[in-house]
Amino acid sequence: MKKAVSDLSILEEGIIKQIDLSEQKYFKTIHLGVMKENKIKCLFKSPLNDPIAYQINGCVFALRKEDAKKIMVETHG
Amino acid sequence: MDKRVCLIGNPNVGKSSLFNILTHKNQHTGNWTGKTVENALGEFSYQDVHWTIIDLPGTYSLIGESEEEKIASEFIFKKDYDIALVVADATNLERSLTLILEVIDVVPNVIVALNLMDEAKKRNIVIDLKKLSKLLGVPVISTSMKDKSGIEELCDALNHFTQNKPIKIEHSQKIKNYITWIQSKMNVSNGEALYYLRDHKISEDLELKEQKILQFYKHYISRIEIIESYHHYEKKIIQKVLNRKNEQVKKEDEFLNHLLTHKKTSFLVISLLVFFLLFLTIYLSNLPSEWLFQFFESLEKPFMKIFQFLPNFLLEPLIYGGYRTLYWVVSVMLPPMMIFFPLFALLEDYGLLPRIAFDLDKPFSKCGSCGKQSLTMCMGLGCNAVGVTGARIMESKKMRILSILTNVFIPCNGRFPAMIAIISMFFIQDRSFLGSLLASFILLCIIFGGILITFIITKILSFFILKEEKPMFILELPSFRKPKIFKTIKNAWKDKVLHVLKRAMVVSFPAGLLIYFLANYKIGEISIFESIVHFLNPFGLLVGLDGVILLAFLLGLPANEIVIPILLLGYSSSGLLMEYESLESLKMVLVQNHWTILTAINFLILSLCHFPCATTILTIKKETGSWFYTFLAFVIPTLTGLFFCFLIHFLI
Repeated sequence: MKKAVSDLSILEEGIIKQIDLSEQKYFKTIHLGVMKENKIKCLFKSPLNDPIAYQINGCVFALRKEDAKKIMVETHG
Repeated sequence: MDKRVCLIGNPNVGKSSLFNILTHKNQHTGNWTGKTVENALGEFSYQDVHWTIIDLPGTYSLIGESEEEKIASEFIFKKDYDIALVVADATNLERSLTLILEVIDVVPNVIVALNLMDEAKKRNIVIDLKKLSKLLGVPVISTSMKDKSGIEELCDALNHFTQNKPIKIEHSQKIKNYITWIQSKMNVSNGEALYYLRDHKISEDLELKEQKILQFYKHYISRIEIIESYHHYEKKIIQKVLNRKNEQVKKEDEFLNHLLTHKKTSFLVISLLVFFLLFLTIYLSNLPSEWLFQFFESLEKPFMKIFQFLPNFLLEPLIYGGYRTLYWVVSVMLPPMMIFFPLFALLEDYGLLPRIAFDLDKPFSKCGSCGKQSLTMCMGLGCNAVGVTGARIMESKKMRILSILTNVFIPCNGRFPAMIAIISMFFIQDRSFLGSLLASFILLCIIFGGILITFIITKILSFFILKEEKPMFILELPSFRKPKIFKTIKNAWKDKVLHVLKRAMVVSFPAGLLIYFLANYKIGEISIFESIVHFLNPFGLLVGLDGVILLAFLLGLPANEIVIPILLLGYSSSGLLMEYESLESLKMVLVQNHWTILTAINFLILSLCHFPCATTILTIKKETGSWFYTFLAFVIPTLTGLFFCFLIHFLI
């Protein structure tokens, strides 16, 4: 099933398939491992539900929902 | 033999720790990205080679655009070194590998130090070092900064470095075409060729026509494509050398992340942390402050004797003006700072701060800022000047300016004693333990008021200051690391406390001279001090205060700690700064001078919202490099404070 990273539930994983961030933003996230075919996992949400913490490989980081919406993943479910 | 080596690597992988171990220096290393903003130089000798070592700012890529990344990549491309030592993170090899490949693409003289190997082992991440070294074609040495393992091997590898045959990276056809073209014009390596795509200065070796072609390529090839080109290789290597199948999350991380970010616990834990930080600071610094004060005071007479050869009109201002103000400021300011900042640094090194920024981002994002502003505000509780410097962690220039301009709305602990004294005198009748608890509670409410005002002013300012595209908020949440306690304390004292203390001393001595001069020299019948008070009085009355209070705040510019002593000087017209005997006697003086509860409220408001102290103003000028912002930082809080005072005076 295809969905935005921001819609992953906690501990759900997906494979990144499409990235619609502007070049500048994409370049900033690419170093976190936000690249096509990489596996991304939603770890936990902040108490106000935004931002959300994700993990790719050994890297844990937080993105705001507005940016996370623009990263699409394929999940098993 | 003299040789040069430069350290390059992702932020927060232990470059600075390695630098410190090799050079026996003490640069601060925090569990936070972007600690090093400029190149640090050091030296060390191993066997018969004398090494100069350059620690570059943390960077993810050689084609990045942030200030730190530009500094680092420019250094790599100048090739003014014998060996580039890439420090990589074993717990996150995928990410480090991009930079390793980029550097190898520029110069062949590369050694990789694979740091945090102990951490990777703990988490069951398996890395085949030999294979990695073979695939990359450069030496790879495993190191750990915690137990200093691998340092010997690293030094050996540096000393006995022989030209190696590093991996040749095949770029995509599009990029290859460009590289072939530029290499027919200039003698550059593949990596350098790619750098020309990003370099804003146009190479002088190229003719006009060729420069136009280069311009074309700059638009034609995106940075993403370049990184993807490396990434293709990276994946192949990772598949062969890295195994994350049995990876485990540290129990500690799981528990603390849960505690610190869960809906039910996070805000409570954060509030408790801040409360204890403040409580410990105020509680523990009381006695040392008193000791220091008594010690310096007891030196007044000996000093008078030593310098008695000076004429009286010089001696008295120097001792009773300059010296007295100086030690007043130092003894009130030093102990709280010596307690607050090490405690804060311990939280920082442990890795708690990014979690706080994570929890609080949403309200700040609504005001055009980001969660990291909460951290600069926390630092502001210790000292606004440090909060202003701390604003370097902000994502963009706009956010940085916003958090600098509003930092003073968070009262630093230099303002606490005066506020607590006024609260206990005018709002609390009983002098028991319960009363002092109530006083702390009222102080907390005032701090919350300051936080509220910070939000409002940030929101208003965000409409006017530096229009820019909403920057992306990315916050890394590094694994928790046990801080080195003694080292952290020592560094906090050295970096923050000494620095602020020096600046405060520079301003408080002349200020003391000025106060003495104003209070003791007369124009006609009355002292200059009194004539200024007469002049300010109508303005003071307009906002529910009086001339003495306004002048006390103005003369308290060098340090908020001396506002109450100046008040006393003004009301008693003794011409000297004096400590009050007890709260009762102080209250009597104030009430005799027509203080009411309303005056007390307005005094508290003005304490919270007025111009920053001289130290902070100097820091703002240095950090923003602009007189305009410094002026704004002075005017905005002052007008806010006067506005509220005026409002209360007229409404009630």
